[in-house]
Amino acid sequence: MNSCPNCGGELLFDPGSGKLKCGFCESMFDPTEIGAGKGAEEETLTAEQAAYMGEGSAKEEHQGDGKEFDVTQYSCPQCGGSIYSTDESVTGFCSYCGASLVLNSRMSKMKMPEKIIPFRITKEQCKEKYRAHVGKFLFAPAEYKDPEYLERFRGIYMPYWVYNTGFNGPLVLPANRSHRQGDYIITENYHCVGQVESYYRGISYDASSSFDDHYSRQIAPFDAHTLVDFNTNYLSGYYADMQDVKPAVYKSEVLDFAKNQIYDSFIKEPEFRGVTMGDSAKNRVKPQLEAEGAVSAFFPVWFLSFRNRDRVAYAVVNGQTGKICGDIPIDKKRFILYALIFSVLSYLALLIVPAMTPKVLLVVASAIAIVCLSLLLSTLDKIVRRDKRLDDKGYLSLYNREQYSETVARQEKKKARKEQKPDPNAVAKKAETPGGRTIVTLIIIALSLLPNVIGYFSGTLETNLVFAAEAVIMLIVGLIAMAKSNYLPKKTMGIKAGIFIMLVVMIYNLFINMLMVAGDWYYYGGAFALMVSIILLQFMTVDQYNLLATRPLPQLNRKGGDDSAR
Amino acid sequence: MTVRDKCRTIAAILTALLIFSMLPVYSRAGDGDGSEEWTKSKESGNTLVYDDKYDVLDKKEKKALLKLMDELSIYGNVCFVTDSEPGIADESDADRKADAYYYERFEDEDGLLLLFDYDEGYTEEEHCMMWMVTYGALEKKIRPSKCNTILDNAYNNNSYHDWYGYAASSFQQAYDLLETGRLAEPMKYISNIFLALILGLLINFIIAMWSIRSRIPGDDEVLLGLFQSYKTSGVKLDYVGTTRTYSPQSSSSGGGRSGGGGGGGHSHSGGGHRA
Repeated sequence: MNSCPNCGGELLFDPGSGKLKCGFCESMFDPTEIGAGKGAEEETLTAEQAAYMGEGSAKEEHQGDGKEFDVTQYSCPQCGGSIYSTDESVTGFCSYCGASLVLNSRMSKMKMPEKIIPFRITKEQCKEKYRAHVGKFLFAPAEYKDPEYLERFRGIYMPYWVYNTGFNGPLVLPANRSHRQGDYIITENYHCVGQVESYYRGISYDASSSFDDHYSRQIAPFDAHTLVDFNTNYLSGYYADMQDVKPAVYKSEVLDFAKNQIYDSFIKEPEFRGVTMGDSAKNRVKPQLEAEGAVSAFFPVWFLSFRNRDRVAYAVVNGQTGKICGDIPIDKKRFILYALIFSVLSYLALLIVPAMTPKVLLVVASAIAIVCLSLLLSTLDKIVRRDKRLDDKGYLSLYNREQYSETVARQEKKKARKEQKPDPNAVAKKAETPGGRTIVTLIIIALSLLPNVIGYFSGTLETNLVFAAEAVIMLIVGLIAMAKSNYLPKKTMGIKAGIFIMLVVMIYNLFINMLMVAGDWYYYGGAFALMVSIILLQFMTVDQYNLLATRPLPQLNRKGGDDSAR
Repeated sequence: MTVRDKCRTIAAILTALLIFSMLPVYSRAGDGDGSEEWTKSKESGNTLVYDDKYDVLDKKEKKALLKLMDELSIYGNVCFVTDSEPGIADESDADRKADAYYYERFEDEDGLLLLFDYDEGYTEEEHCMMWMVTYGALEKKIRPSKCNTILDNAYNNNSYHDWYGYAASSFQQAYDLLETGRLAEPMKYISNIFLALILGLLINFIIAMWSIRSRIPGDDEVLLGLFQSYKTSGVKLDYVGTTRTYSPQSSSSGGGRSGGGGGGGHSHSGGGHRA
């Protein structure tokens, strides 16, 4: 902790001014000129620690020459999450699991990053921005706007890897230009040639497995122009997280980004106007990480957790730009209130629509059922992916190597597909592709069917075929949704029962349609039963949405984890 | 005159009376086949056509129905036709038949036709497609959805296979609709309530999903925060060679059908119900 040279008060970093500010006499000091930042303990990494850092390459990352500095480690006895601080303070809650308890503290050491982006957004600004953000969300629970709760926003410096990449050398990319001459396609083949010198420095990815990529991607980007040399004084009044993800994890994403930028710039050269390059040409662009490779840095993030029983929702604010990413569940009462308002408006709008025959009503209800089932399926898929953190490469690289390898293999496969040899006639065929003719044919057929569609509501068109198609689609989507629900974190009998009932009603409707039962009540009964099952399913979908808007309590595999947290 | 002559005279008169009684009672206003009975309404001057080929109504029912048709005829021609269809009569067959029937006789004059198109030889019990078509000014007021509702109501509010009840109810509802603009549509309101609830929930859910959509920055936004440089030199386009590929142009442009329609070739409104 730094003391004010004037009055001895505590010095804390002030984002507004970018200086250390005394809480007592309000004197300001340059963080690089005050003593504690220079007093960090120096210690060289052991061979084991160096081997941990990367895939054997000392050039891949730069860790401040292996220096460490003294920190107080605060660990949560429930989830095992740890945050670090250069100040001595009592922390009454955990930012990772939202538990309200005093965190265990002990002295520790932390590897010094090379760079840092100091906080620019103050806590008050953060709270104000977040309050405005939540205000736009119609169904946000009231506690998400509670000023008392927003006080729990905590400034944490998240570890990031900052990559520098470049390309310096000749590029030769194949291209062509074609035109038709009678029954022949004439293709002129070219090479687009040029010497390229380019670099992209400051591409960043988070280096902490406890900071989900979902959040880090959405609060991006950070402005690398404001990176400064690391100094422990910037940490005054804030916390930090430990870096545990290797820089090699995001190397392919960094190189792909640079490749795309170089390619997009190259093909826009005036000399190449009028020719076309295929996607496979892009893979001839091969940028590399520069000499420094990946540099470790701390980036500022405001962090808040809302705990609800065994789930937690996070609010994350970029401490430099103020960009927000937050999980906001639905308050059911507000949801129902707004649903009723929209229902009234919908009812008034439906009065203009002519009365539907029972069969048409069935078809419309079935179409809506398919939409609802698809929304449910999409929500379930997102829940599974989020709960298992299937899109968090950093986490997977440490805690789920199998899934990580699968993810990397999938990315490589996608790239390899684009690397297929270019077809010299590809452009020539483009004008004659079945795809183009098919689209035109489909449009003509759709237009010719338009009178039938209009006549549909006059009851002159047979509905059986359309209805049968809807039934098949609903069956497929419903069964997939039921299978997906097996992977949900919570018991899912309600969802399965809801989908099952809907499918049974659909089969009943299919039979009465095919048998051409005369009585209207059969059709109306079937349609109403289907619509009731749709309404029930929508409420279930809202429940699942609230699972999506939260995540399971973290069980961070660091010291201090506790299984009873679940 | 002898007794024999008197008897012959009486027999001749009775025979003449018998033949005369078998002639159609109503005068024909235009062309039609033998089962059609044409009447000119004295009030409106419009034509009533009664063509019960399938013979579903008795004389009393016929008379009552003609009275209703006469009331309705102030708005246009009114036809009641029963016929049969090989196999099962469906909506498109009924619409085509009704449209052809009316148009052959009246073209697009204002009018309404009610057709009962019976299944032929399919089941022991009679089943039919009840179909109503409207033309001219009536087409604007009695749209297909209204035709459907009229026949739905007729079916639901009468006894099973009460053909007279169906027909009479249909004409009465059509008359009430033209006279007052009102038609009972209870199912429309009930189904609209359900649909409105579903749409309300769906709109809400879509709003919620939209609110939490990913806001991952695009490349342009990312580039603003980077140190970047891009320079080129010696840029040129080198010609490599030319290829010729044989690709004959097809004679047709892709097919597709133009025209066609759900209701046949003449402008009309039509709707029905299976009974």
